[in-house]
Amino acid sequence: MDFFSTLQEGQVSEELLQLVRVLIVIVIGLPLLVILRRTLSRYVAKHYSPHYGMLSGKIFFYIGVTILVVTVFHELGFSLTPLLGAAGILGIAIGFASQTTISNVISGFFLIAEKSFVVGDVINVQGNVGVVYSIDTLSVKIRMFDNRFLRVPNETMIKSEFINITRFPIRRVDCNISVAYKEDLKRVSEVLFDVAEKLPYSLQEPPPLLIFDKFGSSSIDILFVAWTAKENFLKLRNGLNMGIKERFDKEGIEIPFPHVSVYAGSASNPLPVDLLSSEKKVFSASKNIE
Amino acid sequence: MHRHRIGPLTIFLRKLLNEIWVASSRDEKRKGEPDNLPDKPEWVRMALPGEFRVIRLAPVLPDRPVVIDTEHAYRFMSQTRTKVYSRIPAFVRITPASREDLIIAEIPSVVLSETWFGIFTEGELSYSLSSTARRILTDDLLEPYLVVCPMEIRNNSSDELKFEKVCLRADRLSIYAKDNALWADETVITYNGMDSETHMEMKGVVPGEAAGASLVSRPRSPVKRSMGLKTFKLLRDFHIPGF
Repeated sequence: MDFFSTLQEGQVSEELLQLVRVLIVIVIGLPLLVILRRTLSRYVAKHYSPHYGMLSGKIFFYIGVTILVVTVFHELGFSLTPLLGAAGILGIAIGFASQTTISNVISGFFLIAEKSFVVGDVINVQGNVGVVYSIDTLSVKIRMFDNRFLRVPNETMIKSEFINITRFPIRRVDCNISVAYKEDLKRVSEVLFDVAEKLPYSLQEPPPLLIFDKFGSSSIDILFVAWTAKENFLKLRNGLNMGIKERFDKEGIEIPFPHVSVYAGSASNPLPVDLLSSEKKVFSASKNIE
Repeated sequence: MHRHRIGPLTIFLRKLLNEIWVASSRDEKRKGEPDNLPDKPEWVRMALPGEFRVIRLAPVLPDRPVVIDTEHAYRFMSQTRTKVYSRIPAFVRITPASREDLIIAEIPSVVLSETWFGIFTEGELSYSLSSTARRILTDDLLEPYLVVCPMEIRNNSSDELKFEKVCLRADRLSIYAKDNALWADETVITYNGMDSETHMEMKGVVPGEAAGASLVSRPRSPVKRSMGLKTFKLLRDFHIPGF
């Protein structure tokens, strides 16, 4: 009897010890993993790029969690071989049930490998523009400029077109300008190049360019483009548009409003206009309305 | 408040306990006396780790490469060497006299336009110098805020060298002063052909034209005596449709 009770007590204390070891592994291991992940992410982000920081943190964390799970199973006395076999069968079942999720995970790998964009890039996904906040297992998180949060599934990102606005170091600012038909286009051109030259963040090379667009219904339409470092894009766009308006006003160059000419049957004859007062008195007038 | 004029730039300095207040204005038309404080000066306040009674204003070269136009489009025949001079407007570095590592501010004497030196997908943001590189330098071209940079260009290739612009790595040059003029050390640019890198060598000594000049500021970046760099602007880079 004494022997059996001693054996049972020994078994209990062994199980308790096992449980304590598992708890220690979890309690110490998990926070340690989180702290190390954060430290590694910050270090890599600081010395290389935020994208690599995020990536290294994730890889480190997933490897760490796998090791932790294996250790816990080992401590609990589970053999991993039958588990892996079961996981294979279970994996097929789960795979069928969660095709979208798995597609997102695999798409995520391709997105990271392809490097079409990295954390910190400004991208335009189907009209939504924002800064890439993170590239996660299932989705890409974007902080939009109005501070809304956009989540795009990795699968959607792989399938759809998107524009990486900040991929290249310099950007072009387009100004669509209309001037009246009476204006001297040579003078207009001189003024536009002068405005661009006076803005220090408008790059000298590649040089600004003036493109004659078309003879519009009310104006001559011009496209004027200038280049700037990507971080100065908004500064240049505002500077150019405001500068052009200011100089046009100063130089007396007309930016026309839409014109509509109304004719009463013939271009040569004036259009008769009758003005009626509230007392129904009738006045006659003839005017060209332009 | 103290006012100092350096070329078109006037710097205003004010001291309050361990704080230095800095403001600036530019007037390219007037010469001589410093400007009056603008109506709404944009003061920059800097708290220093102690009280410093003497403040130093020193010329330094710009913090980015400078792209310089040659006077006219140049063609260098094979095995030709020539010397050109360019004048780069200095930045004014403000530090406590006893602690030159504490940079209070750096203000350009002339606001330089930006330019891109490279191709559409990669390159360097640089400053563009509207004043041209000259073959002959006369005394009237020396100004106390313009740093004269002598450059010797050697075409060691068997091809003809064509270039319109040259990119000078100003951050690797020192400044020397002599007779109210500022000089940078001489740069030797050696072109070895399209398939080889262009070598740029900073001599790191006072140029012969300014013998006896004294050193006033060291280079921003450590001097590598010889560098293989993209220096000449390849004309084809921006003349493919960049639209």
